[in-house]
Amino acid sequence: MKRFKRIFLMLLGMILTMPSIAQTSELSWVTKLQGMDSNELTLMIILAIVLGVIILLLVLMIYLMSFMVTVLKQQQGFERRVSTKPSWWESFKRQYIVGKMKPVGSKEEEDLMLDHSYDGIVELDNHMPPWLAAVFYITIAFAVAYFTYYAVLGMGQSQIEEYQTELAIAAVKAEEYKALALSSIDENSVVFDASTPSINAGKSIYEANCAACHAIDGGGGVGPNLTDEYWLHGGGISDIFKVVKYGVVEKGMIPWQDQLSPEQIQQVSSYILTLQGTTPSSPKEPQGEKFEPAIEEPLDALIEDELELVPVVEEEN
Amino acid sequence: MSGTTLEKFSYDNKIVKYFGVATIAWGIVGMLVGVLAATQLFLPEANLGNPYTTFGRIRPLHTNAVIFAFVGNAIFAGVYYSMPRLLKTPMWSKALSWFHFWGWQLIILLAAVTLPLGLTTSKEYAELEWPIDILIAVVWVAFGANMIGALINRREKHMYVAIWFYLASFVTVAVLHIFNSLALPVSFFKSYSAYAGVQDALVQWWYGHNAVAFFLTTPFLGLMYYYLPKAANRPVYSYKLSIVHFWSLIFLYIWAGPHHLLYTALPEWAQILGVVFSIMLIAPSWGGMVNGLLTLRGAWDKVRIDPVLKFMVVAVTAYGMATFEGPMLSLKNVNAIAHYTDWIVAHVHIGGLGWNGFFTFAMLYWLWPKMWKTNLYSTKLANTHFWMGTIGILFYALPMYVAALTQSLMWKEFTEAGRLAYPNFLETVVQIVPMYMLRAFGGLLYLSGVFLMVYNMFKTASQGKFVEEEADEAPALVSHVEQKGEFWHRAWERKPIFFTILATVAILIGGAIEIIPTILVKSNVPTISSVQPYTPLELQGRDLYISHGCVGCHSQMVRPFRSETERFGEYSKAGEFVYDRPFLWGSKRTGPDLHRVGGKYPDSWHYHHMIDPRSMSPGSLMPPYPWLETNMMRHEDVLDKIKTLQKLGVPYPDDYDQYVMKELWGQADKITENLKSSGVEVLPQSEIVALIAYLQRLGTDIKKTATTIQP
Repeated sequence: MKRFKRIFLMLLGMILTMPSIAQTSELSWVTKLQGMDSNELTLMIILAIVLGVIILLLVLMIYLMSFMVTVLKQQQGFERRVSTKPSWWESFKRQYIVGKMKPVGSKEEEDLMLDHSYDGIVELDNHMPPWLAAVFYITIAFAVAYFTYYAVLGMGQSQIEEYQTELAIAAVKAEEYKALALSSIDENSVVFDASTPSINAGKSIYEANCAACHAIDGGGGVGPNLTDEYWLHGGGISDIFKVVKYGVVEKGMIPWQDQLSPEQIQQVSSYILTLQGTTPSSPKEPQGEKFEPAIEEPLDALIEDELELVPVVEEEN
Repeated sequence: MSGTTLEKFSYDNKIVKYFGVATIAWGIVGMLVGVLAATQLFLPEANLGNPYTTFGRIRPLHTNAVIFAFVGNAIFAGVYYSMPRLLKTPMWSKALSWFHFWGWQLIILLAAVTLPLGLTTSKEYAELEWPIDILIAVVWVAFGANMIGALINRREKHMYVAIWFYLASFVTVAVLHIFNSLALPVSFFKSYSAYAGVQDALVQWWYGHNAVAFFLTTPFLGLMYYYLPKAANRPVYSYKLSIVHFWSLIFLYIWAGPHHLLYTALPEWAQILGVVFSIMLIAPSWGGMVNGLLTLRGAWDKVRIDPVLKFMVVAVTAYGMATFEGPMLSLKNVNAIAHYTDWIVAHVHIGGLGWNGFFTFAMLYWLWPKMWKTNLYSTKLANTHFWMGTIGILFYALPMYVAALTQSLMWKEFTEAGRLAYPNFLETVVQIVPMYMLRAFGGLLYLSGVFLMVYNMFKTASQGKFVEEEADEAPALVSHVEQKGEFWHRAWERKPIFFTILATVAILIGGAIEIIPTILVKSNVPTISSVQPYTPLELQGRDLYISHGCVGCHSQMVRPFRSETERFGEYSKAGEFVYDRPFLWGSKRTGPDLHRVGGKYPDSWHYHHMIDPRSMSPGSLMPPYPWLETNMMRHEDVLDKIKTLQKLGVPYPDDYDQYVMKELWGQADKITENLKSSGVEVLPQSEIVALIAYLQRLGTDIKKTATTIQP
């Protein structure tokens, strides 16, 4: 649903802003529209459709009425014949849109024939269709205005200025979001979260991103075995969080902080800890040092404690 | 003029037949390669497990085959039939005609051999290496000489509009080809572009865009002006419109190249020129469509039954659609969404399959019965071909539009936490794989239709009798008598040399105004002091990257959008590319951008990823490159390469030849050691080491120091 909304808004935005300001549209009112919830949006769409239908009906009514007037006039035996005087629309159309089209094969068309023939091909000397000329003039006017606005007067934003605006807006949003909880988990505040939703989320993150090097059951491959008690960079939740977040680039571990959110890193780190003591199908030999948890506290108690502390927020999407 | 005697002469149909057969043969080859490439995008195994048929190399093979072999031969067939008849004289020289024919086929053959071997400049639609470029120039000039010779011998006083388009196409393609191909050879198979980075990009897209304009568009407009009124048997709608749209089209088209580089490191004034001139192109382009469609006034009843006219109507309509879509894609806000996606692929295929393909089919269906003095073998089969082609185009284009919008929106979506919603690029690729399958089906359907045409044309030919030389007669051209009140353009039409010079001036202005300042004015490319030339090993890796056609799927141009800087890293600056010959910005992101990939992953990640991409990125569409580990490099050519680059102004030390090899092997050993510590054993001379060296260097120079010199 979200994607459809976005596609719809994008298309709407593109169509409406195309001819005018070609650059800032994504940021201005489309953003406002995107801010609406789906109820408001539905209402807007319905309103727009109703409005469209009303206009259509009005046009139809006017057309029907004019048609009826002509029919009535004819029935009442009006002397003046209707067809001799074309409606203003007909003459407007002929003058400014399609141009004076001569009937095919008529004498008028023959008069337009140029007196040469190339291998049997002859040419008429019709004028350019007025609508096409109009398109040409409008595009030239657009080009001159656009060039003046951006290149001569320098009033439009340059692409770097646009980028800075975009960053500024994002920074404001980030501040707002920071006010909410949970956005700022780091290696100091990370906790082992054993709740089922969190572990499940961690499992799917693991399978999508980590299994390539550490095997699907944690037995290791390119990367070390995660099921034994031996750790190269420490086996506490904070150590694991750090390794996932920043990577150990010189040894081949990628930093994930650009790809995973802090909550996700907490989830996957927690999941990794649940692999402790399991038996993988083809375990890699232990690497690093045996890790002893610093606090000799029963693990179960720790879990309960943390469970109360950390409200589990469901993943978006 | 009662005293005038009719002169007898004849038209050479044999050359038309040869070019026509070559059109179909190469068309089938080109489209087959296209279907293969399309298949590899959802089934990487379809690369047949070797470098020669892997996507990066067959994509240029496909584009070259359909543009220069299929469309090229179609142009020549069409011109060699229509031009003598419009001028009432044979082409200038039969020997030249045959030189042109065999020369062109030789070029195509050389392309079909060198491109799969990885001998490429990597500049789009100009991939062929310098010896073939020279051959192209020679053959092209022969074609031009043949036309100009015929013009001099003509018996028709004035040049018809089709001829104007032929002349403008000839002149412009010659200019584009020569200036874009300027390069300094290292060896017979390798050269470095005369331009670097931003300048190379601008020259390349000045060429690339106008290859579309003056190879795929203007020659076909010329063909349209001959074959459409012939097939419809109707007068051309408007002579005035022909004049207006011809001159405005050729003058405006040449400026529009920079719209391929919007939001890149190209100076913004050039981008703005690209935008406004693209918008102004709508009416001149539509002038051709309008004149074509209005010529059919009074012949629409024939369109219902005649497959030739059916193909033409769809072709001209597709031309109109593509030339409206193009300017829309040139608007910066639309381009921000569409660039690097399949939208562009859909756009060019509306033009290629619809306009060029369908018009070529129409022309061949019309020519064959004419040259064999018979009727078309089966109208029904031709109609079936028409519907297969039309549905094929729809199956091709529509999924591509869906794929493009879906992927682009996924690239740009942020979560409320201010992070990318799809930080893993692969997620956005996997999403559109079903669309890639539909696209391949569309292409296959279109190709299948062509086989029906082959059968139909074969049967047509066998039921008729080929007329090798078609006799005609016309009065000789009398010297011009000054006419009072002659329309100014009418006067130009009887002065072919003057006309050609005017057309040349019209097409030179735009290119000159955009390119010369970009090359000469220093402030257009602000230098960055920390950007250094590539080390010899990185240079070797870069040439491997070029040879494998990596640029076909990976861009190296991070645009200044938050969604791109979050995903890839700092946006790309003009000054970072000053040693890039050729530039490798790319035009399509089937895989992620690589400009900031340096240092992002460890060497071992790259090793595993190159040998088997799916081991590191499950579900990846990238083909495996196991041969990079087994192919060895002796690096004997590196000194020649360095010397060539020095000549082009790259500041390598003067006495570099003393220690260049030492430096190269030093870096190779370091990478080998590093890989070894991660449990990967490779030889330092293996190709993968050079490639890793290049990838790890990419985009890292500006991180060394933060000081950049602003203009």
